[in-house]
Amino acid sequence: MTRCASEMALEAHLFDQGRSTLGSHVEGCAACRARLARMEREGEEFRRFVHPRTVDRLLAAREAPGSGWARFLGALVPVGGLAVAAALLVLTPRPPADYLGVKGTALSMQVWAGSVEGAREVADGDRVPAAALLRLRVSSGRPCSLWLLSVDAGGQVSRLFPAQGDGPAPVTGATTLPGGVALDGEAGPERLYAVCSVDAVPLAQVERSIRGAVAGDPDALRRGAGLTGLPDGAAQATMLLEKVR
Amino acid sequence: MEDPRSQVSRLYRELGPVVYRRCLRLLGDRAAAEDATQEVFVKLLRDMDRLKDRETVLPWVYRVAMNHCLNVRRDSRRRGQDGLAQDLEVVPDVRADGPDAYPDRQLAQAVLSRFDGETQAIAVGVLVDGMEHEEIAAVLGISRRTVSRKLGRFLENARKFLARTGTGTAESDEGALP
Repeated sequence: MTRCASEMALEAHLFDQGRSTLGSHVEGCAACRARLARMEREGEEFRRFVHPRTVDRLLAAREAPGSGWARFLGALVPVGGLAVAAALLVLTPRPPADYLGVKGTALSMQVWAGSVEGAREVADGDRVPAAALLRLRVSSGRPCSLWLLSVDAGGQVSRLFPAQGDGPAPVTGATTLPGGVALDGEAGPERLYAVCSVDAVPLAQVERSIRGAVAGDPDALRRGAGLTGLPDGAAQATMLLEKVR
Repeated sequence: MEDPRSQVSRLYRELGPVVYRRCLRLLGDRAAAEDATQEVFVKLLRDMDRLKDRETVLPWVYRVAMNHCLNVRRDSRRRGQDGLAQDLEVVPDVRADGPDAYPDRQLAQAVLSRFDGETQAIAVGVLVDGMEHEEIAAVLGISRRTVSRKLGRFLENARKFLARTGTGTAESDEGALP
């Protein structure tokens, strides 16, 4: 046998090696062994990282009432404010791989709003459906630790990313944030703030800074004053969304 | 007896890698593959009986994942998004008539999005994944003859298109091929 095994044949081999007839070919085929090794690495990557962070969403989507998209999106219902749904979003468009954000800035943010009709990139101040699903990408000119939060017209500050843990998440370059964000369905302005610093900033400090900048004032929220009270060198980016019904 | 949640989690853990690898190969982007894997699995979970049948599950999972991710690629290209890898990694083929059998193999990838979903799946299965005609026919649930016919038409039109453009790169979705 001189022909390399197909991807499907190798999948079957990995799935049930006891019944596989590929063993002898693989033994003598360096290319197939290399492909199998890569497939096993990717499988391990799924089991170690993808499965743990997505299985709850999958279960929630399955158990949510309704069917199809309705059921799927039903699993993303937020709890107050702009909640992290840690959701599976069917946002087929992706940020370009070479996106670097606004040139010359230390930190930039790119947002896509999606719905069952598709997805579009959102500009600062754009109107989006009040219950839109968001996908976000940040670009930093240097490795740093990122917080992403939002604040609504009522002054409610919500933590978006990382969704869990005690500290900010390290990012390098252009990073598409895993999962997504579901808006709360309430009309009105909502402002996203990304803060990235070399030294980790406590979440409470960022929340205080946001409250100080907005103070529950919709006009101040729309003006989008920069955050103060952050460590020197902390980069920030912000984007206003106008949620409409 | 295994409770439903444990069962779903176990099936996801067991078959998720198949879907993830397929999506990673077709989308070339880990975040996109992660999202697509969940989307595919939501579809698969609608037929639990089929998902639990170890005898037949693999071709089905493979087909659903391939169709889904080809759609993602097609939609991405339609929207002018370049985030997803447009070049597909071709499986090595050491047959004597291997690469020469399909001289436009690499270039043909550029015109994938111009064909219907089934033809795309056939082209990817044979030209990219290295599947035999019988193999892809079984996965897609179609006849070998249909595979040969659609693949032949794909190659013919792809070559015509590439000759016409002279670049080997499809610039837009205008003038989609049958």
